[in-house]
Amino acid sequence: MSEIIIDDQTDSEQQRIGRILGGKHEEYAWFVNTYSQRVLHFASQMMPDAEDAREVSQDAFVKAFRSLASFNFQSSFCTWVCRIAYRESINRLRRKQPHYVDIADIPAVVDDELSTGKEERIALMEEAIDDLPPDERMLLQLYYYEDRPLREIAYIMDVESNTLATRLHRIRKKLLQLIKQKENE
Amino acid sequence: MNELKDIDIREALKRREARRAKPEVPADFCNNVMQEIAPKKRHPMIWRWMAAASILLIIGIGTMVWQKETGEGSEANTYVAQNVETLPKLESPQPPSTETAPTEKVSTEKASTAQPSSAQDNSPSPANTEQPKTDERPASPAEAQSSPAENHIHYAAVKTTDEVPYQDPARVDEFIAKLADYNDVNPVSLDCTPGSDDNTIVSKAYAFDDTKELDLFGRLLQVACCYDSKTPGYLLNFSNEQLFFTLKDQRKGQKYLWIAERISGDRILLTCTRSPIDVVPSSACYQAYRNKLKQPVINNTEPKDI
Repeated sequence: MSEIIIDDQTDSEQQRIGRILGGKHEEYAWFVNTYSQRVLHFASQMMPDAEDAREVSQDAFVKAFRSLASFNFQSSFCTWVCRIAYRESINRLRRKQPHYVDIADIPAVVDDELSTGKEERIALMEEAIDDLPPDERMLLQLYYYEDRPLREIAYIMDVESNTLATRLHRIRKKLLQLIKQKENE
Repeated sequence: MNELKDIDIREALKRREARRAKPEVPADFCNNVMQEIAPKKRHPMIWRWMAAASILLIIGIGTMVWQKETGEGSEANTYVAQNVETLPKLESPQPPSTETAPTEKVSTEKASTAQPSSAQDNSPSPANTEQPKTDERPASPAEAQSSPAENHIHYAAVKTTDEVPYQDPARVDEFIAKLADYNDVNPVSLDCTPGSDDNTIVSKAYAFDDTKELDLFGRLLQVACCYDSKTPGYLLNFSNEQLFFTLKDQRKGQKYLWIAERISGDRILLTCTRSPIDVVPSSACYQAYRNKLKQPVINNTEPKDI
């Protein structure tokens, strides 16, 4: 995977990581202090429980430190930690919720357009988003709200970009179906 | 994909995000992470060394105990087996008697000495080192009359120095017979009880060539040395010209006598006699056969019966 994001701090990150690998472990506190809020926010989208999100974030930072030698700067450090946090979240969710509703199980719906400008529909959409599985919700969040490039999301979620595009299309259909169901209720 | 749709989704996500409570980073978050990644003091090395030292100590103690056990074990363990068998009998007022008990103890040291030193033949060793042992001592009155509580005393407290492992004297005869067969020497049966019906005395004579390769005296000495000198009836006497060896088998009530003697014509006359313990065999038959052998016409490979 090619280089995804070059933050302003990449150079200094690289130098800091070099020093950490050289034995100055206390330098890692800078990374934790700088990115903990973002990583925690990221994790909280996957893990509704605040305590779970905190644990996931903490584990992600610890694992990142232990794998620091394998970090190849394909992405920013923060993105890398988010990727680790995403995996950790998925693993935890699998342990907690072993049964997932497969997207393929959702009956296909016609590709109706979502109407715009209607408060009711947006409210319904909010509810529908809440009903989505965490990984699908995360995908929408990263793509539509955080405007992350598909390649970066693919890196975080460890899937191919094409697969993500297909998945996004399915999620939209699913979202539409959920909204219609809510409208009919 | 429609642009408007995206706007709706973005709007929904934005509102959702706005109403969602954003988690705050705990104050101790960084500390917790730094504690997790802090290099922990490495005590395992010390524990490994301590564990290794403990294992070595246990092995050392075990080896010492084992050596001590095996040093006294051959006799002590035998006594355990005997004690187990004799305990019920001791509780009854029966008179003391000779007790036997099988045991699997092997006297390996003696077995090694039983092997012939020369490799020129493959004749077997006569020493039966896997024989059970015999406690020939009658139980003492004090022991027989002791209370059951005293009889259950731990075996380690019992001294068994007088005990002798049983070794079958008949194995000497077997060894001599095989040695003779290997060297093409035919045995001659001697009648040491002429004129009587007593057939309890069995006597055979062999006339071996007195060769350095055969080294009959040396082999017989080796055989004699295989037996414990405390074996009942053990008597060994030898010189350059004669070897005299006796044993008693108190289990079978037999006594054994072997006499090897250098005679003229570079031969060795070996006589083997087995008789009941209370019977005294006559030596006249030996002397008669020896005199015959001394005559030069006698063929030692096909001796004539007397």
